[in-house]
Amino acid sequence: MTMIGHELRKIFEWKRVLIVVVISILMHFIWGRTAFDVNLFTHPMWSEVMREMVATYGDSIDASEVAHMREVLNERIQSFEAELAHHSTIFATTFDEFEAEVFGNDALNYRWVRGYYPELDALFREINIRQWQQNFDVENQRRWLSYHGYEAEIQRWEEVVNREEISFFQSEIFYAYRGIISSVALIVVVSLAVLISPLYVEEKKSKMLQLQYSTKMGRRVFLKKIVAVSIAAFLVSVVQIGVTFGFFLQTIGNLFLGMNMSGFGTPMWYDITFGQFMVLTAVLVWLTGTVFATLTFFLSRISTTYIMMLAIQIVVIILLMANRVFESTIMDVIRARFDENQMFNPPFLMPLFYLGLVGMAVALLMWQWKRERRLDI
Amino acid sequence: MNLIQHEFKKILTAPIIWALFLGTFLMSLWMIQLNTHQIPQLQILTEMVAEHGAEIHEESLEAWEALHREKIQQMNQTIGADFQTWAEMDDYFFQRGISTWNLFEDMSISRNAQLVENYFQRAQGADAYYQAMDLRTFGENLIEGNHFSESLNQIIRQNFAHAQEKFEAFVEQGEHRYFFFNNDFHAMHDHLFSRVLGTVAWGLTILVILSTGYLMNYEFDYGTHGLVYSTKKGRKLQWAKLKASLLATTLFSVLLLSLVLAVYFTVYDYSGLWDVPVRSLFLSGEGMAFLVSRYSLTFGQFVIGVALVIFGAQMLLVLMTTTLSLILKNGYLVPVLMSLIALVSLFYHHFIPHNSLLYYLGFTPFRMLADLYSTFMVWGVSQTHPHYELVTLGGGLVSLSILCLMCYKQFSHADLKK
Repeated sequence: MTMIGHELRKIFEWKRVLIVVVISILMHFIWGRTAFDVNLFTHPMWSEVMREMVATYGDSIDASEVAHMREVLNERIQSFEAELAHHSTIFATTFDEFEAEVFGNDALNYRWVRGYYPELDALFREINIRQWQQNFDVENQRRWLSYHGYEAEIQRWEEVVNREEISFFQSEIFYAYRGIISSVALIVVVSLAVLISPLYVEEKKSKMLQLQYSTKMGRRVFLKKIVAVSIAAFLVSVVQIGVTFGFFLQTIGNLFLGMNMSGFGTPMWYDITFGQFMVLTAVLVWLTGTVFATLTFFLSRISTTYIMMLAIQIVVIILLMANRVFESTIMDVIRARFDENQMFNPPFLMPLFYLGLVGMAVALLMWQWKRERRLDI
Repeated sequence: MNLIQHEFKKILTAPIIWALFLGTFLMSLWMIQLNTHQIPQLQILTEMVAEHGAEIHEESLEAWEALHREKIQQMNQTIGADFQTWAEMDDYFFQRGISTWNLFEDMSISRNAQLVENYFQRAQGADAYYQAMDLRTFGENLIEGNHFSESLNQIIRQNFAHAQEKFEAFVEQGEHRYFFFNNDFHAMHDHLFSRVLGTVAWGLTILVILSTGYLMNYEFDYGTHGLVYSTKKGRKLQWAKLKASLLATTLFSVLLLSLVLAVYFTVYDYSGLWDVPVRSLFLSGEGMAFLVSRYSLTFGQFVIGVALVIFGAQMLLVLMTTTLSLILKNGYLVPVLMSLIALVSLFYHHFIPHNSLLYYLGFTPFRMLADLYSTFMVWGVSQTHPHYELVTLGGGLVSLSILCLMCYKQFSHADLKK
């Protein structure tokens, strides 16, 4: 036990911990900066409308509530058109005409509306947001899926939408959370790489290995180190995820915690609430972190110089960043399709992937342990 | 000299350095081939330029008009219609909800007609377009779209006003009246400078930081520092190491840049276009992505200039890594800290207030390499400075040399215990 403590002290050396803290904060600001942002979305109006809708309709909606939604929307459009009548400078008389004028012209946008007609801005946005809710029209979605969907996906989707009450979960929340959690996974991997890399190289430099390997405790140090690495991976993941969730739950995201994720927008293979999904992704971040930590440890064991280890790590991290690997592996774990390339994602694929990942890490370590026991020093 | 040779050998014998070199080269090759499907279309221009010259004048315009007529005729024959221009055809079918993909079995007929039409019409309207253009509106758009502080707004306005003066002068000289690969169609500028040379630049950056950090901290990492630095030569060894690093950087940069550019220009035929000014209207593109050079250069000079910028940036990185190594004396922390610096200088705009600091922090080698696409162009915030590259390289060289010397002074008296 004391051995593990010593190893942990080596991993969490203050200079490196400082670097990790700085890197984490920077990366949070660069990629996952929405996690620090209480508004989370570009416009507070979205949050406002959502709060009101969740308060009125609850976690799920049925046909009568959809009809009510439409009524409210029409009411808003009417009051907008009444406002329009007061403006002699605007030619448009209906909402649709006004919208076409704004979005049909490259030079105009929301900013233009805010600048020239500030009194119309809030209502205009609100109607746009409410209109977006109308896209959760079953027929519309069915038509879209019949062109772009895969058979198993369509089957699952039919099963979800044929319920009386369909979940009100918003895909905006899904995508915002995806940006946050995938950058957290990357931050965990990078932090662990910085912390764990020098573990063996440091000892090789000081010729400590020869000394250790001739003692009674001997080569079992390798196993102790693995335990220390897994503990470090756990600690780092818990801290990173804890901080992120702490910020995320301050946002409107907490409104959706109890909702079923299988709704109109995000086709999931199973019925799972957003809160459960957050726990699942947290576990996956920890798993990914542990696997990459053991890979780093293995790399540290076999490489003789810092430069070799660093070169491999930098290349791997740049590839992970550029291809946004974690967006697929963590967020699409129980989703019917990979979002980026619209590829089919059968329910067994991702579990297999994680099994392979863990299997690879275990196999590498076992192989190394076998070599370690009879290694010539 | 002998010492430098020995130090140089340390870099060349590290297998991972050559693995990175090879990796960068292969990655660049992959990037180069990404645009090969456009070669048949690029040939339309090179053939015309070979016959009628790259300059836009009456004779070449007539030839383009003839080619345009020929392409439109070919298009009309295929679909059995009678249109005067490609735009007319496209508009006609668009309004009837018919996709041109369903009309042409061989899409290249439609694409070629569209391309030739674009060349011809834009060449015709070049003067009017350029005389109506005011670069200051780009500056105003930039200011309007962002919440900059007043001091930064002033800097941007001043830079764009300066650019506009130069712009008017070269429009009078007619430097824009040249044919070049149509950037709006082929994006060859983006392809060469952003994709291909960008890969080379970042590969070199990793290579240079790692090799310099490796060499500078070699004695500390292998535990020989106690011995080496107490000899007569002693700490002066760092000078040999610096020279060896600069030599290695030169070697890697020259090799990689010349290899990649050689492959690139064999794959893509730029014959007849080497003497075309980079202010050609077809290189500049249209609309918001309007790229206009701050210097009067031909394309050949421009490519060499960009290669020199990449090389200069690597030199700055060597000095930066050396300075950090002299302070930290650890082969692991130095590259990690360098990547931290890279992270900050690439993404600083996310977490600093948008005042004139935003402008001045852009003058770093990392930022310069990230914006390789717009080297020597009026672009973004910092690159609107009339001599952005010269200021970055010159200022970096002076300040980093001084810093490096100061750190060496400190290092030569420092305690060798790590």
